[in-house]
Amino acid sequence: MSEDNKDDTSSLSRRTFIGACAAVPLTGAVADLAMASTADGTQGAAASSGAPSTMSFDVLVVGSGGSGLRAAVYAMRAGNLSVAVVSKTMPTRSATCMAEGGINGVISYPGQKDSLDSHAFDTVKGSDYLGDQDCIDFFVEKASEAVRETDFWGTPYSRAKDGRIDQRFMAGHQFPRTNYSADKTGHALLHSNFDYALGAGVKFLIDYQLLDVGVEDGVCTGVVMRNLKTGEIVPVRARAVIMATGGYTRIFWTRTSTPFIATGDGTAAALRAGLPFKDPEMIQFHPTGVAHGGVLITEAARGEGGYLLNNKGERFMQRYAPGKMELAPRDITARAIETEIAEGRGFGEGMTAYVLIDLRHLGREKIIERLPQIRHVGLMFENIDLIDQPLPIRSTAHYSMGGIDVINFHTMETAMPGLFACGECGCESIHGANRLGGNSLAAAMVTGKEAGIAAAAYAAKAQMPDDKALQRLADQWRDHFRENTARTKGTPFTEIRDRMAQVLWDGMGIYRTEKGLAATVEALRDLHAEYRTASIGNAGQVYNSAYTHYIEVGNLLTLARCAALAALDRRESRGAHTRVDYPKRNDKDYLHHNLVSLKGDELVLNQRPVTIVRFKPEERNY
Amino acid sequence: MRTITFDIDRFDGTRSWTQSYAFEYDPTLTVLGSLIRIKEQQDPSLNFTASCRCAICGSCAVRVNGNAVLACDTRLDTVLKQWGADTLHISPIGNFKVISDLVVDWGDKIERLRSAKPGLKAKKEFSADSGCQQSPADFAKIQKQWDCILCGSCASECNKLTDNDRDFLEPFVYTHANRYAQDSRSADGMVHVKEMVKQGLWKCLHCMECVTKCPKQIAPAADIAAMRAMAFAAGNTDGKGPRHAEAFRTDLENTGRLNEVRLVPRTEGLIDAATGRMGFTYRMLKHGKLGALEAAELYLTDNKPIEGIDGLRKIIRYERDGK
Ligand SMILES: Cc1cc2nc3c(=O)[nH]c(=O)nc-3n(C[C@H](O)[C@H](O)[C@H](O)COP(=O)(O)OP(=O)(O)OC[C@H]3O[C@@H](n4cnc5c(N)ncnc54)[C@H](O)[C@@H]3O)c2cc1C
Ligand code: FES
Repeated sequence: MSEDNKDDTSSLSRRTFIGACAAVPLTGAVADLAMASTADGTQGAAASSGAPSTMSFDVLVVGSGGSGLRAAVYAMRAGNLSVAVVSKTMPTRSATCMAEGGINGVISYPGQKDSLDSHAFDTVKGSDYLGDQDCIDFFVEKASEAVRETDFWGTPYSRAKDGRIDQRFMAGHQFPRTNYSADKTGHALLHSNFDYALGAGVKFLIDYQLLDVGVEDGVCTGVVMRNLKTGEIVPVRARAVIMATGGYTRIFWTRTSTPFIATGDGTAAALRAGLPFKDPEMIQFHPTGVAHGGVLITEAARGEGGYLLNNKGERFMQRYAPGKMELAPRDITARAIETEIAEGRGFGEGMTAYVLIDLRHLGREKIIERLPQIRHVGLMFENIDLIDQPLPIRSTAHYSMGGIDVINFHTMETAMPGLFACGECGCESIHGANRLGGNSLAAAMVTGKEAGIAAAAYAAKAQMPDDKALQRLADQWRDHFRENTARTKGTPFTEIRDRMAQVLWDGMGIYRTEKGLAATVEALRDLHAEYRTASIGNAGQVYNSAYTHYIEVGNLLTLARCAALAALDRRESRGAHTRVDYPKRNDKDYLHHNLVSLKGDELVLNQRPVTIVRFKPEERNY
Repeated sequence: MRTITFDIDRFDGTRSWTQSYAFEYDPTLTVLGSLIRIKEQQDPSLNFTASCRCAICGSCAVRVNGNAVLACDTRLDTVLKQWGADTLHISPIGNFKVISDLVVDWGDKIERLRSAKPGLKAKKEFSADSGCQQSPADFAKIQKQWDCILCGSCASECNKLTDNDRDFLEPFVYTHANRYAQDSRSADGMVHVKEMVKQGLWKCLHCMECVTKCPKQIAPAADIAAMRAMAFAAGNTDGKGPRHAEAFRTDLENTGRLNEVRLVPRTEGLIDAATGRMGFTYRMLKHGKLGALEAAELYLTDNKPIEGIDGLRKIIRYERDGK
């Protein structure tokens, strides 16, 4: 093909033709419509004055996933407040849009057997009794409200014949209470909330990366952000800040189902600002993700009758769950897969070791008809057609139960006045040691709303803080950029990221031991030190995504160190936290939340008892 | 070793250039996987965006040889075969302001999205406390439009936008408006339609690039058509667009053929057409695209009805009158 027509085929010449026609529009030249197109979201109260003074908002929401959008709408509703949502990407690129299964909430209708009590009990039991029961009671009631309200806001829910929202069963629930929109519930929920926020006039600051939270006299004064478009580092004053930055599962980098943005930036910033990181060791694993990259293979693959095979071609689940085989619960299946790999019955090695999922016996038709999405994922990520070949899979990190310590679940306040947290980055704690499917979208809707209401009420009474602390922090970050991007030697930081993931997968993954965790704590400390001298490879100002990612990796290292410390100290097995050396739950010594704080560069671990109200801890059997 | 080359359009805020990156062929790669490999193994300064890597967040649309694709949902092999070449040209999606390399600016696009009046205004009988009712069939009517992931692919090659984006919106904006216009829960779907009429609804050129490019198989052009039909049904027949559509239908009903000579005056009015189209008509005549006598005759006498015109008229009447 010659240079000239490389971009040009017959379909393109058609386009060129139509393009030429467009220059003489049939309907003639009509006066251009005046369209609202304010260049971007930088309409902060002070920004429009022209002078480079500090931007300021009454309520600033950091993160535009489901929780952040809900918070913003509710903060707007208070009236008379300037509200903005910050996002390091275009607003809809969040984890929320990836959720497929559904959102939990009991809906009453004639003949309904389900109840709020039942949802509360299932959530408490699912949490392996680490969830706070007063908070869970509040949550289930508000979850039910949130489902009805989002329906009213426009979420397109799948429907039952009588016109109510249809509900499906999810593992760990006694009743079908998961409301859904086909297999794209999170997407539908995110976009309907985004639309609603647009309609409500919420402002968006797009392509701004949160760096740190400003604090003066123990009060939150706003945030320091980096304008990715220009590279500018800007202090932003706010009477109230709502953190809604999502989870930190990317500590496992390629072994997670979550998006690239799930780097725990808000949690790390809150930690640096002095707040504790609650239950950091609690990370949920899903048994099946593709071997390369961790993208989820949903439960449907096993539900429809898929086999799990090791390198001997055996259906190894007969060793672990002979009754249920591949239909065993998530945690048992995940452990089985890791055992096979650890004992040499997997394929490959290191982070890309795997076992196989085999659907061939289901036949072409059933695969095409019932499992098109899974077949597509196989083709995209492994170049494998499940009709002809089994697919390499392995467990994958899926959800962060731990997060910023929220001390009042009615308001989503933290211990720092002016700073609120909601969604996956906050820990109230609803999910305890293990989140039930469908409960996190519900939590994002509920906690976002409560944070929005409370932050607005707080902001209405609070003073606009001064920007002294913020200016200082901004200066530090400007130095940080200059110093770190100037280095031309050193290990590429992405290599450190990959080593961190490997260390964590081996030492703090599905199986954990005293020895492994102690080694992980050490290894992470070394990696963190090496990170500080690593090379970034780009010193540019405009949209320097290498530097953006460098900051993210630093946050992940900090959060991983907290998690390893807490995991080492939790000498029991509870929910997602499995200690080979302590296989039983130990309520006598460990019925408490772990709280990790940063003092200088040292981590400090504290405990807080779990709130038990109605449901006495008992053994968790299904 | 088979080598693949990506010629990538670069931009650092001031300078633009095209940079070639060669890498080893790997059949397991997607276009996004290839970009990540280039960034992590060759050039950390390369900028692009991606988040979910499984075709649901909409971050990763780029152009491969001038055509928008979702990078994470396009296998390298597929595009190599499609273009029959081992060198591909990668550029940012079109009709967007470029921030850097393959990264585009969504700031003003989001402001334009607001003009669809997004967000449901539900009927009076529904409430936030009790939610809404909707039949499975009515849900199915809006389901496709809700698949939009705001990746921008539909806007990338939209010819109307390229020509003039001040009197037309990105195709996804019309899709957004239509999902509320068609929603049985909406108090008044026409709110969205009326707004879209003001914002270029009749200006779509039907080039169908949006339909071809949507990675979710949505047809924004069909959403535009659906809202035009709603506008018509609500008696919103004034203006050039509606008159143009009406002229098409009149011609088809009369003779089964378009009378291009009558089309313009019918659409724009005789005076406007005569004054505004002189130059265009002259050029057509000059280049032999139109014979003067032929045109005059066509204007005065119209086409002869085609064979089977009765059948066609039946279809048109059925469509219009429902009988
Ligand atoms: C594959 C998958 C399937 C799932 N399925 C389900 C399910 O079926 N049911 C269920 O209930 N849950 C499910 N979940 C979990 C659920 O989607 C999430 O827990 C929930 O959506 C989190 O919402 P959020 O608003 O807290 O955070 P997110 O949606 O992750 O949003 C975080 C936001 O913060 C922004 N941000 C992050 N850092 C910064 C920074 N430094 N500066 C500026 N902005 C920043 C991001 O850009 C993003 O906008 C699933 C998750 C995944 C990954
Ligand atoms: S990365 Fe999300 S759509 Fe491609």
